[in-house]
Amino acid sequence: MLTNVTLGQYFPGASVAHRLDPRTKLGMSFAYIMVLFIATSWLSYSVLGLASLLVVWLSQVPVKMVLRGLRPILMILSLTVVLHVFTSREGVELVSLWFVRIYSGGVRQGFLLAFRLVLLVLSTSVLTLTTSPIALTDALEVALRPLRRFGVPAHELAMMMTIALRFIPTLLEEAEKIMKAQLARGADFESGGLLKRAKSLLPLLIPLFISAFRRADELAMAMEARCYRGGEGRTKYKILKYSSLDAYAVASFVVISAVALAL
Amino acid sequence: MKISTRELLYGALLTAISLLIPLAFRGWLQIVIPPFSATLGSHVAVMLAMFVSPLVAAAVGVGSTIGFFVTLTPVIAARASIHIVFGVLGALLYRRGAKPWQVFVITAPVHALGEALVVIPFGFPLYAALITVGVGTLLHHVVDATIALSLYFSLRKAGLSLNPPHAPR
Repeated sequence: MLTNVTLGQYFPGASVAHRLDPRTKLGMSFAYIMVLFIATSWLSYSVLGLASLLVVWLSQVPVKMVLRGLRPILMILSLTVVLHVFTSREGVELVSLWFVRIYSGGVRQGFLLAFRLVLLVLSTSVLTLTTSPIALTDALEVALRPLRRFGVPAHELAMMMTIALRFIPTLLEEAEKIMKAQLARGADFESGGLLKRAKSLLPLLIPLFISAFRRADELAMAMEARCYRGGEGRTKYKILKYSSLDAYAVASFVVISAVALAL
Repeated sequence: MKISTRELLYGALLTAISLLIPLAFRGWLQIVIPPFSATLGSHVAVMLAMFVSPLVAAAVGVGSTIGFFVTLTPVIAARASIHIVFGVLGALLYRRGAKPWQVFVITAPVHALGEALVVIPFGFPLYAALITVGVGTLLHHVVDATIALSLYFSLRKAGLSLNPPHAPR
């Protein structure tokens, strides 16, 4: 009943994309998303699309894995295209059949938005496929650091993410144990409609949450006993370092983005 | 803004559960009405975080956003980012003395509208965003709020306080 959980989609490797510093990859991904939202022409999107393909090739991640990220949005993609094609009244009339009228503006807009979404998912997929969740969390801590001035607990947020990612397999194991115990007591998780199934969640969730809160209490006590005092003065086992590869990657990204936006 | 170790851990484990439920139960408790999709129970963790503190509610919202960004698609991460808003709002209401059910009722429209609006930049047509995602999220919120309320009372019955004492820093 519980599906196999793959945490993150990290695909281990030693490609150029894997060797880049996670902070560089994260920064470039956000900048790429912004460029995608600013760009409006097909030419710009073609340049960005080619750049994405180049990055996928450089990452040495099997294309099948990269494309897997597109599966959950296939329905959204088709709906975006269909709704724009059939509802927009912009541009030249291309088809007029009984009450169906298709205009060039709708076709253009539908496919453009769908392509933007594909590129968006593709870029984030490459980021998560080539960066481990822990490295990404470290990068996020650095990204959030400037917000500390405004009282945002950057270290604590990153620490929370690290602990959360670490505890997902443990909690999953716990959930499976509870589920088996409840099944042995006659609980029925599979039959009935959605509401009945939601109701059947309670015998699973109550012990799961109780054990999670007890575990949190124990862990807090253990951390305080080891003098955990938050982020101030805390050192890192793995220190992130920029290399010349990061400089080349940023320079190439700036050139490609400038060309795409100029077109 | 200081966060105690206990709050940090509560936040971490609630974040883990908020990521675990949609990832592990998606085949079993998933509702798909294209383009809307949701997993029943996925808001329970952030709803319980409201009763811990506003900071923990925000942290669980941020954690689930980051987690979904890392594990799933940016559209789902964007929808999860609304949990920060409704989580903090709910936590502030609870602090001001609102009853748990009142918290869930007041935050429902904010949650639904937020998730509907956040998907528009991703190319969702207005109709699909407001009707399918908005109404779908509202119904999903009601079901999850019912589960969260049952959990809230069960946890209290089990002697677990959701308001951890602030540890000395």
